[in-house]
Amino acid sequence: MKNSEFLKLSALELVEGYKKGDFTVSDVIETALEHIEVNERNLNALITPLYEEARSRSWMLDAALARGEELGSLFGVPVVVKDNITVDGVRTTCGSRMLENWISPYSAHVVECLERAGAVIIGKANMDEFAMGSSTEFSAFGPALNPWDLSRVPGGSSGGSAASVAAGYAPIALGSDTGGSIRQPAAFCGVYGLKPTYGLVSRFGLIAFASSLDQIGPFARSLKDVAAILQVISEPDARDATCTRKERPNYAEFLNVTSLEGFKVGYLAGYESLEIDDEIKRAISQTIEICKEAGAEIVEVDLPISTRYGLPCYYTIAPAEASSNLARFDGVQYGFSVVADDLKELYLKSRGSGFGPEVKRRILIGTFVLGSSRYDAYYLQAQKVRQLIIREFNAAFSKADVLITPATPTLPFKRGEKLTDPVKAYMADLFTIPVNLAGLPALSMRASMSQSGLPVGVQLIGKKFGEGDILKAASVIEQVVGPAATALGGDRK
Amino acid sequence: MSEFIPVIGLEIHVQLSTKSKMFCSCSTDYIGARPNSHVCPICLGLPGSLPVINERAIMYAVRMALAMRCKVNTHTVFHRKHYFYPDLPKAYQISQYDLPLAVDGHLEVNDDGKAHKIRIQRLHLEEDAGKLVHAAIGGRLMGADYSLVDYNRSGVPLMEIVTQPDITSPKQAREFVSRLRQLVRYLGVSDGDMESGSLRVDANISIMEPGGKWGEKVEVKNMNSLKALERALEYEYERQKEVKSKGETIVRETRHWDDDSGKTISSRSKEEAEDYRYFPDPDLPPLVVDERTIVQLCKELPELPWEVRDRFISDYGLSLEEAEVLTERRDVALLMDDLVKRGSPVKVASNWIRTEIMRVLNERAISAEELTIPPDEMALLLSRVDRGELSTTAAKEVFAMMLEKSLNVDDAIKALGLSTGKLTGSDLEAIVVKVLAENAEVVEEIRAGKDKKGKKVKFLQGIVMRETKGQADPKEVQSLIMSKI
Amino acid sequence: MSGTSDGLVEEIRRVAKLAMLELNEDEMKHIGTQFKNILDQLQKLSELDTKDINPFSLEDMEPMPWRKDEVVAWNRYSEVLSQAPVSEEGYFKVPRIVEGDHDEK
Repeated sequence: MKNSEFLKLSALELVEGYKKGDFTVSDVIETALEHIEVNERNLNALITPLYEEARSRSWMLDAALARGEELGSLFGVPVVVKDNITVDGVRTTCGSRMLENWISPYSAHVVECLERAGAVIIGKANMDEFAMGSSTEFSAFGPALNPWDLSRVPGGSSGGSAASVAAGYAPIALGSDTGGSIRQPAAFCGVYGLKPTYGLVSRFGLIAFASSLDQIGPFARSLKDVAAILQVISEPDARDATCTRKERPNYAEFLNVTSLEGFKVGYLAGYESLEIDDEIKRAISQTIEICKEAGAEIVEVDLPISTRYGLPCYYTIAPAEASSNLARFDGVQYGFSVVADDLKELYLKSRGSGFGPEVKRRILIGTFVLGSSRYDAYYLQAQKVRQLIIREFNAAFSKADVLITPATPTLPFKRGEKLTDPVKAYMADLFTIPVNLAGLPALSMRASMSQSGLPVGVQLIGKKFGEGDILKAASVIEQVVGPAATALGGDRK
Repeated sequence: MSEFIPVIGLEIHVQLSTKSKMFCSCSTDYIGARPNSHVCPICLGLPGSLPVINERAIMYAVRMALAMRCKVNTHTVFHRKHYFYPDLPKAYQISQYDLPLAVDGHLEVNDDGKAHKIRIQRLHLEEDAGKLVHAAIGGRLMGADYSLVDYNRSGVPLMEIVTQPDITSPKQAREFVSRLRQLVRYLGVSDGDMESGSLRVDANISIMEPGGKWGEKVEVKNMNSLKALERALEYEYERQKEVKSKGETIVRETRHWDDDSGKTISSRSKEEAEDYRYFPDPDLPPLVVDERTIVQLCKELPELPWEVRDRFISDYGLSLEEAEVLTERRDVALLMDDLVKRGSPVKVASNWIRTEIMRVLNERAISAEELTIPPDEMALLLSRVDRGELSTTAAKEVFAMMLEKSLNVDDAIKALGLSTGKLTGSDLEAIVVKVLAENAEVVEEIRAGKDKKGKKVKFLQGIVMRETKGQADPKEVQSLIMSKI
Repeated sequence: MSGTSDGLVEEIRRVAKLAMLELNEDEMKHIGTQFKNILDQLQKLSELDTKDINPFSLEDMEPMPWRKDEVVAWNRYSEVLSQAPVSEEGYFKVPRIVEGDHDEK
C-alpha cells in the first residue's frame, strides 16, 4: 500500500491495519502531517496543527502496539478537533482574537474520551468566531476553503473540521452544532456530520455559544466511523448537568440492515416549491426513493411553524444565551486585554477589540432581547415558540421514524457571497435550526454530486435519542450512494 | 418627631458551611489560604466549564427554610444575573429569581418581652463572588489606583434570606439577625460569623409619615457586626427624619455604613435600576426537591431554639431570662438537658452553666462538647453542691482542678486536700474560736460598734472559710462569729 | 423597533454599554442598519398565539443531578494566574475602579 492511501482509509480500517501489522501509527500520522503541511497553504482548515504532539503520541502508541496492549476502539486514528473544544495544554482560540493565546488547563470530556480510545489529535480546526457563522469566513485566523472547490466556502461554523475530513487530513473530526454548524459544512464538504440529541454528548469543555442548543458531534467519511466515534464521545459525564443518564445503545448494531421494512420515512410537505436548489430537490426525491425501494413506508409531514418561525426563534434565543456566555471575556482573567486607565475602559476596549463584527452583532441582539423591558416580548415569546416547534416535531414523529429534509437550501456558495447581509446569510440554516430548537438528532450526508462537481447533501432527522433510527436509514442509503469520498489535492477543481 | 416610624426590611446572605463550593468541588475553607489557590475552571468561569450543584447546599437551605416555616418549592429554577465586576468571573452570578427555593415563612423575635413575627418573603440559593483588595489606605475603593482579585471565595454557596418590611426599630433588626444567626448555628448550616463575612446583612430602611405614607427606601450596606447594624439603622433613621423635617425629600440610594465615623455615606444614586438581564441558566435543568425529601428533612430538624426555650420554662420551671441564656447556643442547651438527665438539680445546673461553664466556653472559644469534664462527673459535682457537701467556693476550685488536670470529682477533691465531709458543729466552732483569738483587735473594734457596714465580720468569716477550705456553710460561720462576739 | 433611526442609534448605544462593547462610528453605522433588519425578523414571532404555552415546560426533562459534597482540589491554579493579562502577588490585577461602576458586594 502506498502511504498516500492511508489518507483515504476510514478510522476502523486504520485500526484493523494496525492490528494486522500492515502499517504503524507513526506511518499513518507522519503521512497525515505531511499531507496537512502541504495542503494547509491553500485550505486553512486548521488554526493549530499539532505536529509535535501528534508525532510523540504516535510513537507512544506504536510502543503500546509492540507491547501487545489492548487497543482502544479508535487506536491510532488521527482526529481533528474543532477549536472551541478544549485540549489540555493546547491553545483553544474559538476562532477569535479574544482567545488567540489562551492555553486551556484542562481537556473537554470528549477529548478525554477520544484519548482513552487511543485517538491522536492532529490539529485544532478553523471555525467561525465563537461558532457564529455558516462559512468559516468569520474566523480571526482567515477563512477556511472548501476542498472540492477552493473558490467556495466549506460552510460553518465547523468548516475546518468538515474540510479536514473531506481533504483527508483525518478520517474523523469533531465539530459543534448550535444551529447547523456540523450539518451544513458536512453537506458542503460531502461528508457525514451528525448532531446528536441534545444531552447525549457532554458539553464539558465545549466553549459555549448557546448552551441550550450546543451539541458536539462527529464528522466522518463512513457511517461505521460515525457510529464508532459517537459510541466513544457519548460516554456519560456527571460534569455536565444537562448530559443524560440514559443508557447508550450499541450504535454499530443499527448499521447491519438491508431492509427498511416496517420503517416510516417522512418528508416535508411541499418541499418542491421551497426556494431551494433544484439539485438538492432531486437528491431528496432520490433518497426517498432509495428508502422506498428498501421497503420503508413514505409519509408526508408538515412543519409549518418550524419552517416559518424557526429562524426568528433561533436568532432570539441563541444570541441571548451567547451574550451571557461571552460576558466572561472581559480582559481580567485571561484572553485579549488592553492596557486601560480604569476598569470600565478595560472592559469596553478589550471586548470592543477582542471580538469580531458578527460576534458583536449577536451580543448586541442578545443583550437587547434579554433587557428587562424586552424580555417578555422577545426572549420569552421565542421560548414559547420553541415549545410549539417541539410539539410540531412530536406530531411529525408520531407518523414517521425519520424525516428526510434538505440540509441546506443551496450548494456551497462562493467566498464573500453572504458576508454583507446577515439576514440572508442566516437563511443557510433554515433546515438545520429547528432541529436544535427541538433538541433532536440529525445527520447530514452526501446524497449525490452536482453537475458542477460539488457535493449535494440531505438531512435525516430522528426523534429524541433516535440516533439508531437515523443510522439505520442512512446505512440503507449509503449502500446505494456509497461512502463519502476524499477531495485530495488532485481531485480538486 | 416620634411620629415617623421606621420601616425596615433585611436581606441577609449566609454562607453555607458545606465542604465544597456550590457548583464545583473546590474547598470552601479559604480563610487565610493563599489567593487564587482554592479555584478550578468552574469557579474561575474558564471557557467550557459547567456547573453541577452541591447536594448538601440544597439540604442546608431546605433545612433553614423549614425551620422558618417557609413553603418549599418542589420545582425551582436557577437564573443568571448579569453584571460586569472583577469579582464575578463569568460576569453573571448563578442565582434564583422568580422561582426561589422557598417562600412565605416567618421568624419570631422578642422585643422587650413581646413576641413579634417578622415575615420571610423568600429564601434562595446562589453563589458567592470573589474578593477584591483595593490598593488604597485601609483597603478602600475610593482613591485606589488598582485592585487585586482573589477568586477563592468565588462559588461558595450562599443562602439569601429576604424579610418583608416588618421590622419597626433598629433594635428589632438587631434582634432579628441575632435570632437568625442563632438558628443557622442550631441547624449547623453556617457558622453565622458576621465579622468574617459568613453572615452579611443589607438593610432597607424608610420612614413612615404620620399619614401612613412610606418614604423612599434607602439601602444600607457594610455592617460587620450586630452592633454596627443597630447603629447604622439608628443613624439612618435620625438622618431621614432630619431630611424630612427640613422639608427636603429623601433620595432613593445605597449608603455605606462607616463604623469609624458612625455615619452612613451615600455611594451613588439609584435613579435607574440596573438591568441584570435575568434568564434561566440553560446549564442547569430545573431543581427538583421532592415531597419525600422535604418530609424527611422536616423530620430530621433538631429541636429549634424557641422550642427548647419554651420547654425549659415549662418543664424545668426556669424564668424566661434564664431559658434565653441557656438556649442561646445549642451545645449549651444540650448540656443542660444532659446534666438534668444525669440527676443534677435544675437550679444548680442552670446557675452553673450560666456562670462558670459559659465563662470557660467563652474564654476558650470552645463548644460544650469540647469541655474536658465528662457530663457524668459534672453532674456528680453539681449534686454535691446541691447536697451541701461542697460549698460553692470549694466547688469552683474543684471545677477548675477537674478542668486543668482532667481529673474526676473525687481525685480533684483529694488533690486540693479537701475532705468530702462537711465541717459543722463543734469542729467548726473550734476553728471560729481560734480565728477570733488570732484577730483580737478586729473583734474589739466590732464590739466597740465600729463595724457599721459589717465589713469586719465578713473579713473574719473569710478567714474561717479559708481555714475550713470552704467546707463550712458560710451562714453557719457567720452566726457562730456573731454569737462568740 | 418602530422608532426613528435616531432612537435606534440611541438604543444600540444603550445596549452596547450594557454589553460592555466599544463600537466605533463605522461599526455603529453598519450594525445600525442590520440591527433593524434583524429585529424586524424577530418581531415575526409575535404573530403566533402563545397564550397558553409554558415556555419552560419540564416535560421529559431529566431533573438536575446533584453532586456529593466532597472536596477535590485542583492544583493547576498557577497556570491560570500565569496567563493573566496582569497579576501581582498571586492576585489578578485590575485598573482603578470608578465608584458606581457596580456596588461592592
